[in-house]
Amino acid sequence: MTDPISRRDEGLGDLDRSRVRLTDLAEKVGVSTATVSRVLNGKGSVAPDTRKAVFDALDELGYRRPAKAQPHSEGLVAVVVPDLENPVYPMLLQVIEGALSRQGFAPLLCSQQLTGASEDEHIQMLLDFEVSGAIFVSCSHGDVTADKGRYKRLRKAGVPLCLVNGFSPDIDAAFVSMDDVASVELAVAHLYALGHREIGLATGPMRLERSRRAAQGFEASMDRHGLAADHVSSSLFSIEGGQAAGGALVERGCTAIIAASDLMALGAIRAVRTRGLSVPGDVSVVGFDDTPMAPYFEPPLTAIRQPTVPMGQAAVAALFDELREEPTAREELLFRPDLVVRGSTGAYRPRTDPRTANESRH
Amino acid sequence: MDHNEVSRGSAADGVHVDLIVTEVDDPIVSRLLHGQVIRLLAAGFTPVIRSEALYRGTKGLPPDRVDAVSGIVVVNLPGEIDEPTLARDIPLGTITLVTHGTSHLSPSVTHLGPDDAVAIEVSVRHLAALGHTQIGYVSGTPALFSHRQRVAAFDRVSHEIAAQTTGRETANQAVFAPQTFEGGERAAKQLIAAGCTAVVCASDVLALGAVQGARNLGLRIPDDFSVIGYGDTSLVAHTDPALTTIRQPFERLCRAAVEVLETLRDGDATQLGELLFRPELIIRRSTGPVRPRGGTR
Repeated sequence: MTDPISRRDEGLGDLDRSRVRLTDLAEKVGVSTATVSRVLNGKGSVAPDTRKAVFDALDELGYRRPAKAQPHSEGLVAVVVPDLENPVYPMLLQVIEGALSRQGFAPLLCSQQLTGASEDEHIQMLLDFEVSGAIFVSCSHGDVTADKGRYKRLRKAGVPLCLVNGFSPDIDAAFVSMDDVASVELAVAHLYALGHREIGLATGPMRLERSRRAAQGFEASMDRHGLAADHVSSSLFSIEGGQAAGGALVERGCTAIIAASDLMALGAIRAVRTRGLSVPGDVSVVGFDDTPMAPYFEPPLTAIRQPTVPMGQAAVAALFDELREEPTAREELLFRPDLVVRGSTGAYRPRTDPRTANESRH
Repeated sequence: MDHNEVSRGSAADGVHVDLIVTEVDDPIVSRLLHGQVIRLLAAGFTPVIRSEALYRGTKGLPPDRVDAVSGIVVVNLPGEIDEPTLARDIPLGTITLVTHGTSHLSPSVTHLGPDDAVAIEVSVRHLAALGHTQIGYVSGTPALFSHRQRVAAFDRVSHEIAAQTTGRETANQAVFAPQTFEGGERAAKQLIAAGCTAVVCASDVLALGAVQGARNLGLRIPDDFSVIGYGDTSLVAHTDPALTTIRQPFERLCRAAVEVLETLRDGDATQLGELLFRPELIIRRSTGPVRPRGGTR
């Protein structure tokens, strides 16, 4: 009772600064008074070691630890994306950033595309900074071959998770995804209606759940139209990947290609043209994401639109449900896309190139 | 983690870098952001993205941020909020603003950016060399200081060039437009009505809008009308037509920003002033020689 702080049970906001002597604490620990203040108020970001040192000094000087100085008051939410080159990630990030800041939180952005920093290092960093939650977009959670230990480490440390585009039953998290099955179905139906029968799917790597779902959706919808889903080719999500996968499909005689990203669609268009064929005259191409530039591509891209606004908002809402420990039903939230028809798809007409005349179509 | 060795104070405070951003989904901003985040992480900083709204209306930094960050990178600071406002309450030497896209200077601010006067000059010179004498400029909002600066550079350079090449004044003119496809479309129509055969645009998005606007009037690109963009943002090599544009030295800018932050984190209070990086003109298919309206190939 004689301790000046012990009477202040309301917590730090009411700390009697002159009695606690922030300067003494700061000097003892070797940090600024501002840092001490932040530790005591549980506000701002302080490295865990420093936080511990301040508390040790507090104990040593005989003060009672203030009630509010609990570790989880950062106001930071980690947002991890594979890169910002594919325009769909900045689009999602913009929505997520807006939704977070309306709740008083800020995103701590991690890009996977780093020199020397792995996702594991990111996760250690997130733990160091005691983030309030984490949103992963199209990261290793959707990679069926990847070790899920990193997500479990975060959960074990009490960090709520929302995982976007990619599902794994092994991870305790909220899931928000684009409905890849429905997306491919939309594209197949569109191409079928235009008269295409030799339809190919250019997917991303098959170790990704998204690619597997797209392939399943492709198979199911081709089957529904009485067609065989023979033409599936997978590569990277990039322009070069699209050129590789698209090229293989063109060689097999496809007259229509469904690409797994807008970038892949651009690569597929390039693959068609380098073979002396035209889009959509000889081969139709459907993109995936519908980035803002898509209407201005040559030709304007027919694309499946990823509903980034509702998805980003849902991801943040689901994360806050987790944070409040009021998880809604742990069903994966699936968002249905729209198909935006532009100039890269057209009616089927038999391919005119000599190359195919020598190959499978004869 | 060797940064911890510098001092106890910087171990606690020397890691966070606030990235103040608006319009993350703007292609130029996202590209800068991407480069910056990668470089900051690689250098051991923790980049936290802060909505510009958080800073708006505050006198400088929110108090809890002053202590929490070791540096601030302002990407594309919008509107009338200027860096002196942000910097007002920031203790000199502890926090520095490293900016992209703006040019307000205060003593505690290091500015890094592309040399926009050079960007404008190479753009206008390219068009003049193709024979264009009636060149328009489509600017972003005049509320943004860097846009006003670029308009001034355009006025100066285009008159200089006109004087050199034709010996007379020209009808070169600048219009302001919202930074959207639609804004570019409308501006192009205005400039075409005023007799321009080519436009320089303040962004790739505006340029693609201008292409659309010209086509809506029945003009062909580049036969009847030439368009230059700005930014060389993701995918404009694949648009119709592939866009002639200004490439910003993103990589070097972002690397330099990190160097500046490291310098300050290490306690070197050297005033680094304004660091301008020279952009390049990437010539693709949206620019061509001037020819009489309605002429055929």
